[in-house]
Amino acid sequence: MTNHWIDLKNADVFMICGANPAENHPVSWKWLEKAREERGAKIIAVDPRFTRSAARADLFSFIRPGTDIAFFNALIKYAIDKNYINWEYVQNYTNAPLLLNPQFKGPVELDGYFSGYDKEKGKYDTKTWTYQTNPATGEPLRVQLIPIAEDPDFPGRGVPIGPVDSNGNYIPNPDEAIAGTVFAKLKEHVSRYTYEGENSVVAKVCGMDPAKFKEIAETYVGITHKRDKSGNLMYAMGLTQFTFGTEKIRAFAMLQLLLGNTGLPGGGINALRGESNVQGSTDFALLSHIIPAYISVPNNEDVDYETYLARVTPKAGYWVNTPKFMASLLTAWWGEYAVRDLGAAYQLHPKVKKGKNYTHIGLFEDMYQGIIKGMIAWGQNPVVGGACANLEAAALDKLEWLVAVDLWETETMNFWRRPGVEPKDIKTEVWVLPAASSVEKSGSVTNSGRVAQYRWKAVEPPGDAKSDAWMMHQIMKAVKELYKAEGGKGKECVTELFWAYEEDEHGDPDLNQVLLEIHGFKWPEGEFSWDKAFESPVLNFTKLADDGSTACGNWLYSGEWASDADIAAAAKILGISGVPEKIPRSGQALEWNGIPFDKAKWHFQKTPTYWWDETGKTLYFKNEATGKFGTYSYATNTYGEVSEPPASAKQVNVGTYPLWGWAWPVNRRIIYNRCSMDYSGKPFAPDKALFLFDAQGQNLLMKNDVNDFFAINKKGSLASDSGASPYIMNREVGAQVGRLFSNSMAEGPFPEHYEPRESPVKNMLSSVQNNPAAVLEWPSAKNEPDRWGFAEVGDPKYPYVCTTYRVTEHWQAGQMTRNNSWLGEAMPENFVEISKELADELGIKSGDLVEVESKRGKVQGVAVVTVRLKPLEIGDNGSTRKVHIVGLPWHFGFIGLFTGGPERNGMSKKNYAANQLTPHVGDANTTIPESKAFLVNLRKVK
Amino acid sequence: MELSRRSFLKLSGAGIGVTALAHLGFTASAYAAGDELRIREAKESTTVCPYCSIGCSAIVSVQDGKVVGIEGLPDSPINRASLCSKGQSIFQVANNERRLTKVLYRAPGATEWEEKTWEEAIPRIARLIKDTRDATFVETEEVGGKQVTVNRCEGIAQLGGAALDNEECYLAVKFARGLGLVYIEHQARI
Repeated sequence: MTNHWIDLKNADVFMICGANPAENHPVSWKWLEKAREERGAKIIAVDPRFTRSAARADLFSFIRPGTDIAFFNALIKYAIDKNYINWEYVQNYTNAPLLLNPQFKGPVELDGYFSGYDKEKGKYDTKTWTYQTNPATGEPLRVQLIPIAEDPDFPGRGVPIGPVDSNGNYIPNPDEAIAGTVFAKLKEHVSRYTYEGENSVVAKVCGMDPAKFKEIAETYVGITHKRDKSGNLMYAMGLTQFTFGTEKIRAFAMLQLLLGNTGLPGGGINALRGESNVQGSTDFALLSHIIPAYISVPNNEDVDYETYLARVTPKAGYWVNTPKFMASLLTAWWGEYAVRDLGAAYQLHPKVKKGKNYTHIGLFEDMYQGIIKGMIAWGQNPVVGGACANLEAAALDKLEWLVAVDLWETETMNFWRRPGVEPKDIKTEVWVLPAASSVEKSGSVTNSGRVAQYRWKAVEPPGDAKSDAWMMHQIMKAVKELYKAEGGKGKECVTELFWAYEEDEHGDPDLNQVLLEIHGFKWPEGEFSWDKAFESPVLNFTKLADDGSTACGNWLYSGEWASDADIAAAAKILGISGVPEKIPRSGQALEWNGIPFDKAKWHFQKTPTYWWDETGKTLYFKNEATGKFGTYSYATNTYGEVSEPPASAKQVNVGTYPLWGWAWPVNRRIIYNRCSMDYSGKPFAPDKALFLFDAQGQNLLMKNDVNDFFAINKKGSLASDSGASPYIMNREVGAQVGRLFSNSMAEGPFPEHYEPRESPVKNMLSSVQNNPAAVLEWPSAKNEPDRWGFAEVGDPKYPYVCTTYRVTEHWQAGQMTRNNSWLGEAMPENFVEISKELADELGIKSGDLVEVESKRGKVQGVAVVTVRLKPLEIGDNGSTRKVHIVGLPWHFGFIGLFTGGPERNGMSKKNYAANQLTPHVGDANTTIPESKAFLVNLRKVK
Repeated sequence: MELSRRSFLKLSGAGIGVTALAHLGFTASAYAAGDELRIREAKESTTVCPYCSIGCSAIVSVQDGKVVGIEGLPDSPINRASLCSKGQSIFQVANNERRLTKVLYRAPGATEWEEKTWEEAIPRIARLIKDTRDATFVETEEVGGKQVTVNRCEGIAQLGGAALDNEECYLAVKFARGLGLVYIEHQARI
């Protein structure tokens, strides 16, 4: 999430797409309701199914699975057509005004392709996906999309001066004046995504009612483009699990930029992540393409450290600090060895083969081919949760050994006796390690809003169960001993690995030492000791060095370890004397520095407040130094000071709660928060303001979050001006702005609609059926098309579109809930949800046992006939046809207290995992599998 | 009436059933039950829910080394005492006879599990890792006509981590990259 959970209360309109928070993130819903009660917020849900979130929404529309790009592009077209645009934001904070390379061509000109497509390689050459630049500075050329002050001195610069339309929106300069810009090209690109009438794209591709589309667009776009309103996208796997999932999110992010909806309270692009610490596990890079904190993994063309740094370090944006982050990571991992010679330590890090895909799908494809011999699984259950689960289970058959760590027996660790296989034939050695649950160990987890919170060990784990940290520590120690004793390939990588954590009486590594290493410290002189390391923690990542003298395991988490000054300040407030206890900032709850949480909680629950007087259009904010209140009047654009806010002023709490937990980076709760203000430093939304600059643009008078920007430059280069470079992570020279045009995407700078790999219809927007940059056929499907392949377009054998989802009683691959009687009894069996119309066509009643079949597998479930699904009328080859949607939950399997079938407590003879149906094909950028739209047939069993 | 947190807990506490009542408002029967609550002598600590990613805090009550109650933490500004159906069932994660309590081993071709000890498991797993790593490790390879150091283990994959703590995720990535692994993936990818 760019924002965080509590911040949902600041939204004016919610767009819930491909997510179902009322069902899957139930506690979040109280913040949506709060926004509704306090701000009159509107909730929109767009989904293939009338979900529980839809039931609580103000507006709902059905949509055919996999057509969200067409929907989002139509919303962008609507915003442009109606001039519902936050022009001040777009002109200053996005790349819309930049001039594009005239060689760049898009799908309008190239029938579904962008310029540079190589059909043989199935990839784009991106050399035309560029801006026109000033040859002297390398900075992109820009024009004015709206009349704007050209005064080089603040406050004249960046301020719109042009006329407004009847809605109060600035009128853009005429088309000929802005030709060639990103904005002009975007306008041309979305012109095909029509929304009016029965023949519109919205009707024919998405299967939406155009009248409903208009209502949704008028609510979302019509309200939230206003400078003091924010719209909030809440999404989950219903948007991402597609061969073009990343472009879907991009399409909506672009809409958010046009409306001025990111970087401010109540707005943003908010991924509702599914697991308690999937944000943390992503930050720590348990992924093949990155190393901790989103640094690109070294590949075999990065022959030495300098070559690597040259590739991964951009010339602009905050990532210019990459050498400091990387050097500190190498020191955290190879200790003294890295302190002595960073270049040598770099060579101990594995280098991937450039261009090879090691992601989940690629991993299981290679396992299926026998390349991978052994696997360690920490709590993951791919035989239920993986795509094309039968293929992934068959891949496990090829392993020599599997180590599976979990709280429960899972389908994955029992793959050798899954329904339909003979255990004797499977030669894999399997070790199952019993793990401690979340109340049986201490540690921090990072929620979807990037807030890390500490949880404390309450009880010992049962029996021989151990924490995962214990297992990693003990196994690594044993492997190190083997290499020391016997030698072996790449010996130094292991023997030199810095792994000096001290153990407690159970053999658990000291997690405070691990956390200090994550946070960062100056590597001590002489022989290493943790005592010395604890004496020299860095303040945060701004103090990391590029020469190997500092260790830091994850620069984004550098700052989580409270500084002595912070602890002393808090101790003073709480009235504690003595030596401050060493504790992470995420760890206040329970007790803090010897103070029971009860006594300290008032401190940790503090959140900044200010006052907003609606009638007088004036902000009031306390000046702690003088005890007086500063004021800023929107009506007169003047600053002042009073001793007390008037009674008509309302106290505002934006809900950042800076002392509760700790958010990366540096406890910033809303990222890119420069965009919460206009160019001159006044909050766009005075009733949910984060910051206010003084009249000179030099100092912040009000500060309700950690700023990611400095002063507004009075004179000087735009590049160092916070108002001109609010998107600080953008790597492009002279353009630290939001990107409506991006050269970083595999399939093109603008999102274009393609059909899912398995689709009932041909693509109506171009002759390009599927994402041309995605791998559409992996070796499994190529070599055994009848087993793992795909249905044809409009395949009569698989006439229905299937989608999968979750239910509130269960969680992910099920092991955490299907072994739980309270939850299992509430939702004991797998079901197949179909519309009344399809039920009538097939003679199926609720309660019948049905079987769903795809090209790759079959799964049974109880039919649930509902009005939550309905057939959609869509265009097909110039005429119109009906498409039925089938839905089923994906939590079930074949082992556990509840398997999804009628059997209880043990192994089932059938497998109820919906992922047996899904294809092994993934997104062009991330390879996330396409699990939310595929073709099936359906029949009644009895 | 001003409620201290202690008395609030007494009123709201025994297990899920009463907690659910407490969320609906205090009732006379909850008052009456106050003296009998099994968390009366319990030691409290806080936790964060292991299910979805909201990060709801809960109070864990422990007596004689057993979890006797889990309920939403009123002080968390994120969930303000609320827990969903899954959050309220963390109790059954801590107290569940289906939990794995022994190391299990399945020999190649075997049809059943055997129980093992950690003393057997750790050396064997270390041996499997070393042997597979040595057999599949690529120290150098030719790139553009030159031998380049790549120090990559192609024969071992590591999967999972979204349910681990941050400190464990860090150890997991250091563990894997330290061994030279390149097939490192987890739930964020699917």
